[in-house]
Amino acid sequence: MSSSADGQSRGARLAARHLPTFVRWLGNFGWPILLRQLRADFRKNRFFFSQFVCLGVLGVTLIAMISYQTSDETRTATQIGQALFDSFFIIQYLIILVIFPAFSATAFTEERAGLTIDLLLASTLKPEEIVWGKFFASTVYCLVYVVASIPLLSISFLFGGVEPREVLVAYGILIGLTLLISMVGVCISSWYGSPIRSTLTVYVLVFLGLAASWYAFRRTGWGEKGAEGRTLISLLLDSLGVGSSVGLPQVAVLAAVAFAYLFLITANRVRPSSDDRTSPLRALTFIAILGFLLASVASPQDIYLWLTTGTGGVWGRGRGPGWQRGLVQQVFVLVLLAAAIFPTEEAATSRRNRARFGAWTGPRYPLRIFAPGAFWGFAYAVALTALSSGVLLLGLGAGRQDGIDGAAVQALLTMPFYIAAVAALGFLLAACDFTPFYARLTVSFVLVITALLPFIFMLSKEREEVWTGWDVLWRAYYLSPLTLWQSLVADPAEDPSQFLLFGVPVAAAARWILGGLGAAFLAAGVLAARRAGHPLLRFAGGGDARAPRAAQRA
Amino acid sequence: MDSTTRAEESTAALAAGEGAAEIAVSVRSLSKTYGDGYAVHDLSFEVPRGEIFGFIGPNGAGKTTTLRILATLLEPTAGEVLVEGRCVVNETEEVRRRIGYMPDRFGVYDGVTVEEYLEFFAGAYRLPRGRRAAVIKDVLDLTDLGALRDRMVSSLSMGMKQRLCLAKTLVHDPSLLILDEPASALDARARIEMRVLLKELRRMGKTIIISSHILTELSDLCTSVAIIEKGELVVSGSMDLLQERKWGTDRVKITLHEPRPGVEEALVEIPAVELVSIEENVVVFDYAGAPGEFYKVLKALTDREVPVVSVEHDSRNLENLFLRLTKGDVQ
Ligand SMILES: Nc1ncnc2c1ncn2[C@@H]1O[C@H](COP(=O)(O)OP(=O)(O)O)[C@@H](O)[C@H]1O
Ligand SMILES: [Mg+2]
Repeated sequence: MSSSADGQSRGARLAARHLPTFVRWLGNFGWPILLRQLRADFRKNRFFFSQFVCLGVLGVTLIAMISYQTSDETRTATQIGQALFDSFFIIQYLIILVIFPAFSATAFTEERAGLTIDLLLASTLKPEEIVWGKFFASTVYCLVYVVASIPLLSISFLFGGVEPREVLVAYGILIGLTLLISMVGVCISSWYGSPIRSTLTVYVLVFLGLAASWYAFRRTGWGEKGAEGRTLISLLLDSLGVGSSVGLPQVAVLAAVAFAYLFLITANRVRPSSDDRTSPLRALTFIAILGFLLASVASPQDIYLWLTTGTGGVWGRGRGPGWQRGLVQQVFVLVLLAAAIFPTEEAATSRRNRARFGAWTGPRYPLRIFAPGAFWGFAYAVALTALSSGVLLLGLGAGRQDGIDGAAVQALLTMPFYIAAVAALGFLLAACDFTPFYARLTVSFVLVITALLPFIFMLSKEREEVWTGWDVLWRAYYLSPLTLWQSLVADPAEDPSQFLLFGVPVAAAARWILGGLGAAFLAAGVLAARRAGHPLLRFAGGGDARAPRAAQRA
Repeated sequence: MDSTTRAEESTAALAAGEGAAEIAVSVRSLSKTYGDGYAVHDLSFEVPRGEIFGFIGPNGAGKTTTLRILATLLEPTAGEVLVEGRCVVNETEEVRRRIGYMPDRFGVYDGVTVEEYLEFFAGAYRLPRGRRAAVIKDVLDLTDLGALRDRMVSSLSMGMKQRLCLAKTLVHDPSLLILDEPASALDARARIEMRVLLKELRRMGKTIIISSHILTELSDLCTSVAIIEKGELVVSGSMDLLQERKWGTDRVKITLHEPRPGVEEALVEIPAVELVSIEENVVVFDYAGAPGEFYKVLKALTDREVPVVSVEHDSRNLENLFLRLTKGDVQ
């Protein structure tokens, strides 16, 4: 080989070395599916047609806006520029929300209706790759369109009045919305057999999205008296700014978490159930809840103080007790949802999964809370609630002068028992071979009933003179999750923990009762699981837990 | 618990033992329920490597259900299915790499050419990019689709689509082909071509499982069969063995010079004979005895001076076997 040839082909050789890796990497995102779709759609001119229609709508509206705005002599150039920018954003927003879901809403239903899905599923493509492929195949036009519309946006720059920062944020929102909407469509399409039903469902959600967006935009004060000379984006930025509880980064993180959930749920729908359906979802929920907690409470300054002095840092101190209690409530709602969902999974787990998690011993043992199956779902819920309450107790400075008050602390101590009892109930149902759907239905029913308890008690309180037994019932008030939350918003001066039930503070009694119930459910669940042959702590070997049930039937 | 443990031990023994190399597919106590009803119940059979295995049963017998489980598209309710020693539930990746599956009803993607269609599956099966063109050419040649490589897939005839689908299952060079009623939509000529192709594939060392509700379609193609009805196995084994088995009845057609009374009495006396029909001078009966004893039938007839002109002895009449078996005559 001559040196000149070497020099010439250096780039080519580099490419040759790295291209396979790159291609493999592409393959992990379902590249064959995207390529096939693109080939077919380019032939059908669907691509050009959709681009043409969308850009046409946008262009015509903008031109109409310009002629309308410029005909009004009283308007300044800045005002015209801002009005154009606003209408550009709104039209884009509507196009993305209303037209683009049609591309993704049939991603899987099309394959089902066309009887091509089996060939795809029987191939060695992983479910994640299939979902990525379908996602990119349905979102690629939308992204191209959003980018192709940038030149139209530049018209509003000619008039001035719009900052580059606003343009960046606007594009961030539009692109993020496009990705999210496409994933929503792909996810919904994996649930249905018929393209019409999936499209209808997606458009019901689109309608809700429109309503929510309208509400969010109105809340910024856009179009009202004091907001002249401001664009919608700058108003949005303000409303998400420093003074509010949610900032722009939180919105972005929230959207990313929603995207990840939709992706995982879709991949779970596509893959056969023997694969691990739960671990990624559990891990994501874990990270999202703890991340939400930390992101909400901890300013870097707070964390620094807390780490260095150990005393100074009380999270959200500057934001007052109402904010602190709100945070506790939000975290508990999230953890309660996780406790209703994960322990009610099927108690049976496939041998493959058990082998995988069985290999996690020693320091990795705690990671088994992410292992599939009802029992580890219960362990997961308990760990999650213990961890979040612990973080909240520490971070909110329980027991300190500047920390949260006694009532909130009582709730923080009691709520985990309630959540553990709910999780244990879910595990018991799953161990009795309730399907996840019916187990979740039952748990939700129990949640609703216990949430209604305080209202029954409130009624009873007014009748105290009729029967003194009501008085005792009234003190069982704290057995309900709703009242636990209520104690969080109650006046701190009126400490509800003074209520006594048979001489014991009500919150403490609630902990005993809920703890007892939880332990009973757990014990019953363990017995039921043993009898049905479902594995609990044992991971290695053993039969596929499904087999014994069928054997009994046969 | 016990039953599973036992099943597992035997499976482990099978996977570890010498026999594993010879067995392409092993189905053990497979059951699949939909709601309360069984689609497949306690089905067990084995497919030796290198065979063309006929999976035969009337409509609704559970063929598609079983084959979809083999192809990792459905999960069994109970039982175990191994493809070349890999479990279809726990080792889906390995199984999928080894099988080529052709569903009973399938569609093709609109708007792609034959070549692009195969390229898609080459990509889906992660064939190295450099090898794809060569593999696609080979597969097109093998299935005789070379001339159509630039045709749009959606414009192909049913027979062509079927062959394209077969080509697609060959792209990743699987050792086991699972074909669910591949001939049902084909005309006679296309069937013959399909048959030639399957024999060629067998010569290349592939194991082929092929299902049908029509037995004659498979009787001279298959080297072994399983017959199922209402989700349960009626019989399975190699074709040769099935012929030799006592219930592997032969249908015998005897033509007489002229109709004669007493033929019926003569035949009924022989236990191995089951009379089917006597019409004019044609007598049809099933013979279930040993081949070496057949002279006794003829002797009984000639003793009564029945003028036999010809004896047609259909010794490979699996259709007959099939009809009798699915009627539930034979246990
Ligand atoms: N998705 C399903 N839901 C309910 N029953 C089904 C489903 N698929 C198949 N069956 C039933 O299972 C039985 C076996 O069907 P199948 O395997 O398709 O039979 P075959 O392919 O032999 O004609 C039939 O009785 C059929 O009605
Ligand atoms: Mg069928």
